[in-house]
Amino acid sequence: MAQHNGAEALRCENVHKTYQGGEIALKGVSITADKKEFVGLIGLSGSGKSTLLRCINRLVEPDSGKIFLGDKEITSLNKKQLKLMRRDIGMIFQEFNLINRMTVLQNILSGRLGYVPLWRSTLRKFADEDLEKAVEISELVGMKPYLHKRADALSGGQRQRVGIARALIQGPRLLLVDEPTSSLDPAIGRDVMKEVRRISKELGVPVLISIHDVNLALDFADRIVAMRDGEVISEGEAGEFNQKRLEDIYQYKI
Amino acid sequence: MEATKPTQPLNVVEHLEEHKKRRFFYFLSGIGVLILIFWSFYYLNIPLARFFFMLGPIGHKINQLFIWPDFGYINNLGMLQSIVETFQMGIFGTFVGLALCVPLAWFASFNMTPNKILLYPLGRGVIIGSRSIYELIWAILFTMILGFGPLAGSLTCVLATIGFSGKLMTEAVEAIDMGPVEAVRASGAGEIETFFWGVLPQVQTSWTGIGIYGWDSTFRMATIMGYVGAGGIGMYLRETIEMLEYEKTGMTLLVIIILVIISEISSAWARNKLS
Repeated sequence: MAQHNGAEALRCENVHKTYQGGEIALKGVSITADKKEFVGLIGLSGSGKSTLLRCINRLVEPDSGKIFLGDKEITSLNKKQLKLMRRDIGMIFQEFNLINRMTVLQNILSGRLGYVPLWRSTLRKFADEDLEKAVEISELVGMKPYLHKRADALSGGQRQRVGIARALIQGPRLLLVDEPTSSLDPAIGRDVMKEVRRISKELGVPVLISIHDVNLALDFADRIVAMRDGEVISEGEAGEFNQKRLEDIYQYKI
Repeated sequence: MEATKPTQPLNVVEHLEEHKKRRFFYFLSGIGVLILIFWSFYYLNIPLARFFFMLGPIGHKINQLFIWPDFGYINNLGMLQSIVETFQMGIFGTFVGLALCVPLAWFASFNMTPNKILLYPLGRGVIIGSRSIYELIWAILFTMILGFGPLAGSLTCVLATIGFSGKLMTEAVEAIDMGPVEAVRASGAGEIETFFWGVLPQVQTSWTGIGIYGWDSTFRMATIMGYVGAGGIGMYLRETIEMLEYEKTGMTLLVIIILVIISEISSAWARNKLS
């Protein structure tokens, strides 16, 4: 397994984002995640959770604000530095975003693209240690028996496990998780959450997870950050969120 | 627990009005098309009656061309060589053209282009350029620059392939699912890695199909290149027409038709094999 000292914490300061159509997604969001912390982002659709996650690894360019991972500031990095930084940030997606025509093994290995020279990755010629690591991680997420199956032959839960494995093989210092359970049925969604939490605690990687399902968030997150209309409206330990506070967040009788 | 907002009540009057507006728009477009058709007929001054009298002369010409083609005409070395040459031009044009299409389609797709300022206009420009000028005109230009012969024809076939397949391949890239692309980028991959891992696996099937169609269209083009002196069997069309040796023209046409049928059958076979 890659080295994790877990000492880095994530800090976002006053992040703004307006999309090209004029839609304001983030209006000055500031959040932090301590080492080894499992932070749940909750809020309605369109509240800016996914945008915030994508601003952190700059799949979406924030307009202004600062984002620190450890002592490195992310928004000022140039293209090359950004690529190096992205290797340290694993991401897990709602729709899994696997490469369907490739095998589970190749999908997991695609997490190494940031490390492997171009000619090697193009010829699918990965180093033995990468292959060993891929097999090791596939075992960690329970996908070892399916390594040579094509990704489009898997069930939703299995696909998400491959997605987790792909993020882990990067040896991340931070995991960004975007609605990991929305495309899964409830029981399997719960399994996946359990898996992500177990792995993050085992490897000491902080997790920032956006999640629709409030119960899942309360059950698995250490701390909750609630967003509405691009702003953080409430923040605290998971235990502090009672019925009343949640109803305020969602403006909806639960 | 899912917090959904109640949907807006349907406003019936608004919907009806929208519907009427659309219908009126369709009506106007229909009228417009009719006017265009009548205008073009009027402008071309086509005497419709002549269509009926044309049937006679067409029959006569077909008679002349096909009932007694000069079958022996194929039995000369030049003709046989030009058939081989036609295949060579088609194969060269298709493969070189498709090889060039791979980076061009990547550059020219608005979603995946690695550089919007330089490479995007380059890709678009080459593809649109080879499309917007008809292939025979390219062939004429190339023969003027490079002289008569198969070199001019081969280059024309390259451009024909780029024009035909390049656009379709670009559209295939523009239709991909951006999810895997996002995932590959998030792992720290550069533009080229993103292309090989996020794009290529998604388009390889459609690109193969487009490539096979590209072969069809390019080979057909290769059979007539010779008419303007750019190599291949087309040369015999011109020669025999100018000498008024229509039996020989008929034989040349027959050979071309057979060649095209062979090419179509083999590409249909390839398509079946792949799917």
